[in-house]
Amino acid sequence: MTSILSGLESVKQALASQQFALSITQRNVANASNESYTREDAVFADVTASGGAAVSIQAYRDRFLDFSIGQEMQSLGKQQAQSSALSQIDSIFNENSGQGLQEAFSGFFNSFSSLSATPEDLTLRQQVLSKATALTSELHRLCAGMQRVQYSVNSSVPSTVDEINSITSKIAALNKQIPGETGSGNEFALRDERQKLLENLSSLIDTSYYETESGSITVTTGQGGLLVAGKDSYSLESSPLSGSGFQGVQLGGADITSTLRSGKLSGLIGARDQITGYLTSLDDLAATIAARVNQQHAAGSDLDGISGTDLFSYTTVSTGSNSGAARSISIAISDPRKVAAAGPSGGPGNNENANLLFAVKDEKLFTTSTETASQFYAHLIYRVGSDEQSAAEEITTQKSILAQLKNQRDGVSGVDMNEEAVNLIKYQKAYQAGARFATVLDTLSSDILNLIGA
Amino acid sequence: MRVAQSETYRSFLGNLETLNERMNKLNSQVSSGKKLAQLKDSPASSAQLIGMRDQAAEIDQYQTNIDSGSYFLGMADSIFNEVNNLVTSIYAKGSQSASESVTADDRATIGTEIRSLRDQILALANSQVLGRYIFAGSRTSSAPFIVSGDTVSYQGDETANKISVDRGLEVQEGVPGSAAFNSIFSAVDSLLSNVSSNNMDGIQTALGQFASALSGLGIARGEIGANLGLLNNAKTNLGSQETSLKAQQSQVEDANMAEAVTGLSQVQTALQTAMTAGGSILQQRNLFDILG
Repeated sequence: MTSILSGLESVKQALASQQFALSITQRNVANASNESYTREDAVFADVTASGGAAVSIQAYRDRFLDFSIGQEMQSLGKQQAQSSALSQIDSIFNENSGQGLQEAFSGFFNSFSSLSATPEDLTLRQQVLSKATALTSELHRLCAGMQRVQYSVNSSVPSTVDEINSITSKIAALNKQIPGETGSGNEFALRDERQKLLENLSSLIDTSYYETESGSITVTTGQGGLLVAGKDSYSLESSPLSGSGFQGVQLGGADITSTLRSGKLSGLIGARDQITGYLTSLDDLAATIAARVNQQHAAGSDLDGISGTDLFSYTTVSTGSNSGAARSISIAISDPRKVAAAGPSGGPGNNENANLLFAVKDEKLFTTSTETASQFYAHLIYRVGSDEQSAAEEITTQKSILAQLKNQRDGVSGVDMNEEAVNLIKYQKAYQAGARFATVLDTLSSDILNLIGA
Repeated sequence: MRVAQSETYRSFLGNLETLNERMNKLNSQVSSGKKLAQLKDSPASSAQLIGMRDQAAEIDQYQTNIDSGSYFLGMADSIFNEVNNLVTSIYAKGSQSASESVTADDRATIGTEIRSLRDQILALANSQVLGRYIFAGSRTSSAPFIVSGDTVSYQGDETANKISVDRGLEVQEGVPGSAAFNSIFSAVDSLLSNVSSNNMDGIQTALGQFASALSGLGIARGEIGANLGLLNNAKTNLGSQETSLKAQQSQVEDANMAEAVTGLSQVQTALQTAMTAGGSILQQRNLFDILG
C-alpha cells in the first residue's frame, strides 16, 4: 500500500466495480424468462492503487448456434406454411369419410348398371342424370374448395413480403444504432433485439447473414440478393406473375419467386404450386371421363330411338388443355328420355349402351392407358396425403432439432438462477469487504490526524 | 453444467405437447373407431380405401342387378310354366276334337274353348312386369304379340338384354318371346283352322306340331333355369367377395380398439406423471429462495 489516501481511491473503485457487477446480476435475473436475452457477465480487471477501469460487460452469445437456429427456423417456417395449407386441402377431399369424389364416381357409373336392368324405367333414367349431377357438383366443390385455399395462400404472399420488409428495415435501423453504443449495456440489448429479428426473418424467407467489423449485420437472401447492408434495407416487392397471375416476389426489379428455397414465403409458394398440381389432375379426370362418356353416350340411342348426344359439357381454357374442365363441367341433357341406354337403333328396352357406359369405369383411360378413373383418383389422394404427411413429419423433426439447439444456446446464453444467486452473494461480500476497508482506512487516517493533533 | 430457466420450461412444454398430440390422436380413434382421420395419417391406406370403396359399391350394384335379374327370369319362368299347362290343355282339347264321334257342333264348341285358352296364352305372352313387356325383346313399350283372325304375329325383336353381375360376367336377363311362343301360336292357329273346317287329317297334323312347340318351350325354360343358376352362383361369389373385402377394409381403416384404449390409458398415465414431475421441477427452489 502506497498511501492511505490512494488506498481510499482504490476502495472507491472496488465498490463501484462490485456495484456495477450487481447491476448486471440484477439485469440477468430480471431477464431470466426472456428467450432472446443473452446472459451478461461482469469481467473484472485488476484494480490498481491508482484506480482505472475495473470492470466491463461480456455477453455470452454463440454465433454458430444463433446461425443454426436461424437455418432451422427457415425450414420450419416453410413446412408450417405448407402443412397448414395442405391440411385444409385434406379436409376438402374428405375422402376417409367415404363421402368424397369416389362415392360420386361409383354412384354415377353404377347408375348405368342399375338402368341396364330395366332400361325404359324413367325413374332409373332420372337417377342417371341425378348421379351425373352429383358427380359434377362434387367436382365443382373440390375445385372451388381448393381454389379458395389457393387464393388465401396466394394472398398471404404480399402480406408476408410486407412483414419481411418491416423486419429488414428494423434490422437496418439497429445496424445504425449499435456501433454508437459499443461497450455499453445497451449494446447487448440492441444486439439481442436484432438477433430476435433475424430469427423472425429466417422463419419467413431463406436468408444468410454475417456481421461486419463495425458491428452491423449484412443480410442477403439465400441466393445472395441484398436485403440489409449497414443502415440501408432493400424492400421485396410482390406483384402478379405473368402467366399464372399468382403473386410473385421481386427484389430490385428481378423476380426471385422461383429461387426461394425455404421460409414461410417459399412454403406458401410451394403449397400454391402443389394445389395447382392437384387441380390439374382433377381437370384431367373430369375432362377424360366426360369426353369418353360423351363418346359412348353418342354411340347409343335414347328411349325414342334417337342417337345419343353429349351427356356432359365442359369448357377448357384452350384446346388441347384440360384446364378448367372440373370447374365448368355440367350436364348437357335434362330429359331422362335422352339417356342413351340402348345400342344403335335399339328399342326402348335395349340396354347395350348402358352396359358399355357402365364398363367405362373399368377402362384404363389414364396415365398412358395404365390406370382406371378410380385408380387415377386414388393416386391423387395418395399424393395429397403424402405431401401433407411429409410436411407434418418435417415439422416434428424440425421442432425437435430447434428445441435441441435452443437448449444448447440456453446452456451458453440463458440465465441460471443459481449462478446468479452465487454471483449476488459474491459481489455483495466483495462490496462489504471493500466498505470494511474504507472503515479501516478511515480509522487509520483518524489515528494519524490524532497523532498530529497531539 | 449450467441449466437455464427457459430450458427447463421449454423441455417441459415440449414433452406435454407431444403427449397431448398423442392423446388427441388416440382419443379420436377411440371415439370414431377409425384410425384414419386425415389423409396424412396414412396416404397409402387412404388411396387403398378409394379402390376398396369403389369395389364395395360395385359389388352392391351387382347384387342389385342379380336381384333384378332373378325377378325377371323368375317371372318369365312361372309364366312359361302356366303356358306349358295351357298348351297341354289345348292339346287335350285338340285330341278330343280329332275323335270321329265328336259332332261338328261339339267341335265348334271345342274350337271356342281352344280359342279362349289361346287368348290366355296370348295374355301371358303379352305380360307386363314393372310396366315392360318382358317377351318383347327391346321393344318393351308395346305388346309383342298381336292376333289377327287366328294368326298371332310377333312384333318384338330378338334383343336379349344382358346384365353385369360380376366383374366381366354378364348374364342374359331378357327372354325374347319369339323362340318360345311363335311355334306354339302357329300350332294353335293350324289346329283352330282345321277344327273349324272339320278336317280330321289336318287336326292330326296340327297336333303333331305340338310336340316341337312344347320342346321349344322346354328349351326356353331350360335357358332361364341355367341363367338363374348363374345368378345364384354369382350371388354366392359376391357374398364371399364382400366378406373378404369388408375384412380388408376394416383392417385398413378401423382402429384396433384394444390397442387404442390401452394406448390411451398409457398416454394418460404418462401425461399425469409428466405433470406431477414437471410441477415439482418447475417449483424447485433455487438459491434465491434460501437466501434470507
